[in-house]
Amino acid sequence: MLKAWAKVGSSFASADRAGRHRIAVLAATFVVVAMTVAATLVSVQTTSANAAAITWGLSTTQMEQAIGVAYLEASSTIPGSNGAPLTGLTSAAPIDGPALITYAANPSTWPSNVDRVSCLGTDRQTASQYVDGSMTPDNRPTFVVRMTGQFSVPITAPEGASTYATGTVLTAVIDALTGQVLDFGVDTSGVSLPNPMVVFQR
Amino acid sequence: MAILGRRVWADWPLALLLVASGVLGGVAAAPAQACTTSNHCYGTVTGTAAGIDGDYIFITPSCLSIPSGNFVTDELWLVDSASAPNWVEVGYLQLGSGINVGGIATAGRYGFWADQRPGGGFHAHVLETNPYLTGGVPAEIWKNTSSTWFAYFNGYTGESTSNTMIATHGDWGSETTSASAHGLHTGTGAEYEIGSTWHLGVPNPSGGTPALPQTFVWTTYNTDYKAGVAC
Repeated sequence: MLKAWAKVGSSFASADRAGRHRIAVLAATFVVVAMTVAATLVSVQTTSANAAAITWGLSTTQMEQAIGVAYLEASSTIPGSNGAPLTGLTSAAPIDGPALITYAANPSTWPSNVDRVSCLGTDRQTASQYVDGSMTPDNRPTFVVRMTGQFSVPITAPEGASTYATGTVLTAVIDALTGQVLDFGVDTSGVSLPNPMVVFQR
Repeated sequence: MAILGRRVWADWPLALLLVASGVLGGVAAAPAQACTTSNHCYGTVTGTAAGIDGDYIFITPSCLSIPSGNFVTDELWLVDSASAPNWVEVGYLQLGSGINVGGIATAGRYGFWADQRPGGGFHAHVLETNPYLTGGVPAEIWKNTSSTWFAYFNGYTGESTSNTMIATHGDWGSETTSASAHGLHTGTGAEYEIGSTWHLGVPNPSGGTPALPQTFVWTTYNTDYKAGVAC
């Protein structure tokens, strides 16, 4: 009897939990839709004057942050002969400060698997469209780093799956305030960044 | 199916005793596994059901720490093993310094979700930075449309799009790259979804043998468990 009541209680708890999640997701979906509509309106209103309506260029400090993240990603995504990453361990950019921008413009300062690095500023929802098209209610200011070349990155994965992923397009979305990577994708193709700032190109 | 749970359940107190007493070597217990970035160690249970399109667990970590150059997770997956495989996953990620895992290259604790989709591509997303361990969090994955999946962690959501995977099973538990990880957690109230109906428990639980340091034991068969690397 006790077990039966426990089961009933558990079922109610389950229903409540599922209901709460649905409400949270509905609310989040509403926010996403509302912000998308708002962004679209802004975009439509400004397209005639400015093709890059909801993206912006980066400040020198942000460029340094973006390049710093790009070096971390580049150093830890070099594919080995078997396709796996040579190392998943990161190496920071060898210098910092404004000089990093000039330094990074030299292709010889990058691993040979990287062909091009570019970046731009935008909100997180727009940035997600350049990563994988995923949806998020979070719309904080970010900048996007786009790298092309040959990449292999260690990943979390279910048992039995490969422990790394490979691709030719690497995209990272970085929190504009903290410099932390928020979203990441490695793919064989990607949506082009509109008028990005090019850090370097071979 | 229940054999795994009973076997590990029987081993659990012994393993704890042996680890605590430092006499693990030479004892015929689950063998220690070389956990590396290319050979991950798992303490998981697999739940298989035709038409499964969602799974849920309330995760309460007892600890989460990891040496530099490694990671440990407390999480759940929804997997399409008939394809590449492809999957959606969500949960806690503890990332050590100096390593890039799924593009996240800053040491710390995260609530995260990730996916690998038919047609290629791996993607990872931070839902929450430095989530609390105390009190735990609900984590859930469920199908929204034929090509979209929601991932939920402690009030934060992400949506996997253009993802046409057909899930075959769910995994509940922990993953790590290091034998020195600490990531034991309590999972309570496991559920899975078929169609739009949620069912209590892990369906037809089975799985590989968690090799030390990873563990998986039922505390209430097929709904509540302890999984991960001992604290």
